[in-house]
Amino acid sequence: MKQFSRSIWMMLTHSVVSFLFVIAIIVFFTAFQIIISGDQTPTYKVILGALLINLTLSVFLGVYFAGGLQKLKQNYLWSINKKYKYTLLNAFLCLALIFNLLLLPVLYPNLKHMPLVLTLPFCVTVFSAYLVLGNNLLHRLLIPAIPLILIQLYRFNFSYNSIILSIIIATLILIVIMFLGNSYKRPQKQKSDTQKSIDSMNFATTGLSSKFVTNFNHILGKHLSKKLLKKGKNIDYAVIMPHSKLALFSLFYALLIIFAVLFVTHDGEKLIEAFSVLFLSTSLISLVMESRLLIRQTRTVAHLFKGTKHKQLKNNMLLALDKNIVFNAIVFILAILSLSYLFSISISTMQLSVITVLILSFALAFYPVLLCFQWVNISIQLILAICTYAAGIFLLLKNARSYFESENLMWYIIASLLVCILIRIITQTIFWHKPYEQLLKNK
Amino acid sequence: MNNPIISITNLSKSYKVHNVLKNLNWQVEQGDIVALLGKNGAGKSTLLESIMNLREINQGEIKLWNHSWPALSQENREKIGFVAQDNVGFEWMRVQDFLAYLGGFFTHFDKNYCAKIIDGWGLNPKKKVADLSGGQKQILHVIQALSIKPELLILDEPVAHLDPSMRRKFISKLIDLSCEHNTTVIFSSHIISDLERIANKVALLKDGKINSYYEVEQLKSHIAYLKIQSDQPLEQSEYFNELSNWHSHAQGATASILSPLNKSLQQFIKESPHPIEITPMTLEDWYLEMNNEAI
Repeated sequence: MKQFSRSIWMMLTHSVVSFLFVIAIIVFFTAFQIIISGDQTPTYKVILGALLINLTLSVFLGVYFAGGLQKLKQNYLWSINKKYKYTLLNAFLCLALIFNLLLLPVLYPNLKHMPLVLTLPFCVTVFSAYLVLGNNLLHRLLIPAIPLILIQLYRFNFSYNSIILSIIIATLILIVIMFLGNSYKRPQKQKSDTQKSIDSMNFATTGLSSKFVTNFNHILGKHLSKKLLKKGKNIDYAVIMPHSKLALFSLFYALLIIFAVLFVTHDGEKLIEAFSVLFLSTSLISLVMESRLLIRQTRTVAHLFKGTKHKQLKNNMLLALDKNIVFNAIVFILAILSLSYLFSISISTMQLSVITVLILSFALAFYPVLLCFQWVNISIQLILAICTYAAGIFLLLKNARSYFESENLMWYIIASLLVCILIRIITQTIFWHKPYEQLLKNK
Repeated sequence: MNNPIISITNLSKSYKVHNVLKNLNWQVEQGDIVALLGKNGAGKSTLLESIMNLREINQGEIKLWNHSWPALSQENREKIGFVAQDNVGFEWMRVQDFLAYLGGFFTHFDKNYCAKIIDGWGLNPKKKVADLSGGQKQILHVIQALSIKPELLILDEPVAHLDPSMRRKFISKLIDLSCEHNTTVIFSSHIISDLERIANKVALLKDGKINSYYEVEQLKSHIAYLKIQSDQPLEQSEYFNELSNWHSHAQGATASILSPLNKSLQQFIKESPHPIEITPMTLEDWYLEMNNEAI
């Protein structure tokens, strides 16, 4: 039992930022479901739309937990000790089940769809784990695609129940294969802390290899190399990855939202608004989390910057991050607006713009403090920081709602901006006073 | 001391309750190539990174070119090259982009000189940093530091991942650089044979202080194991008080010379009240003796 609980803990915490992301996103998803379900019974289309969004999280859970499993598989015990292997697999399945159930609370009392709502996310998590666990590229692509292929059976007039049944059977077969197969993972070369620090948060903390991240960024970097050669103390590329610099994730999130919204007929505007809040607030912070791991790259040139406690260097870093956060937020919101226009989804440009300004302001005000913490696995600091961030955004947006129709909206925005400036002064001062040597130890 | 490029006074640095550097005093002269030795955890990286202003010191003063860090001019700052022990990063860049990017921070970055060194090391400039081996990555960072033609070069275990032939190349490049530009080099290493080839001075960091700081040639000409012969056990008399590790036994005593004596070794033997038999000591033996780890 002790080994089982240890395995669970290791899979949960093998990458602290992802765990944070899981918790944050589950809270947001649940809150979102409460909002859209409201007092009325949600329609089938709404359930389907929400389920689809939940499935993206199920994929993430599969990839994340499999990332932890993959690390533990590298121990030689996996291949010679069945107890070790079975404990890990049980822990993985247990986590997949619990977290998927957490995502699907009693919000949909519509029993007709319960088998779909309850089973599909778990099955998707098991299949998507093969994005990481697959022995080769073919496995990694084909196995996770199985549920998608089976769902297509409805085109050939297969009944809803038979499709669900076939997905469940396929999942069971996959689980049996997991237990019976060997699939020992040869240990990767030991990574130093510094090497880990260059792994991008957006990819690598999910368990995807840093090689993939590097290759992806290398391709982008080739096109950016002219900028790289620009003379002067341009610290941007030392603290920001090319994929973040080009706001690729913001575009991806925007596409994801529009894709999800296309599946529902009503409440499109509500959905876009809710998901914009969710993705914008998490993606802006994920940029910061990525950068805090990259700060170490500035060490070679840190001595060139003047000021006590490396103030000039720290200001350069903040400026680079500020520009990047603003750019990502603008790209995100422009993408949402353009795609909504393209797919004729009606949304309130004004409301969305206000939401963006408020989230962006709070993110800019709050993030310097996130660069300061020393986080080793799960810490109280980490939880407090993220709760404060979420609470700040929640309060700003909650109050903004009551002003949307009012002529005092502008005053509310100005007041919010002033509060954010005040918060920024405090967080920036904390960041200035943080010893540079401690920033270099960020993990 | 003629022209100290680095001057450290009463430097103390601690991590929580662990005092790593304790009132350390040290001066390094322009043009010296200094090997910094010390056991694992002795504080070599802490000392080098403190010199680089990467660590916040608890007490003391570090001056470069007679200026403390806040008063150090931009021109002087750009004359410093630094290679950290675990320099990894920028994995997505190509070798040439990496060098050009970091070179952009230094006014004196010499593109042609850099290309020449890359060629000399056999690195492919189009290759991705991620695809380099551990040793090649280390070389890349050394190349970056050399390309600015620094006046002060600080290297934290720069040869740890290099094979013998690469180490030889590295040594020859450092010597060239030091001769051409009168560069002062401080490097930490555990490979004593390299130290003998390259350094003109050796510093031993022990118990949070620079315990010994000597010219390599001077040290090598003195250090030795001694067998002092007598027909009875010998106690350490005033004549022998400069000797270390004194052990009396039935036929006299054994001892070691671990620091240069006030007189030459020949003269010391000649004037000794007892006959002395000498066994040569290598720098590696000296290092082990100094750390009380001799086998």
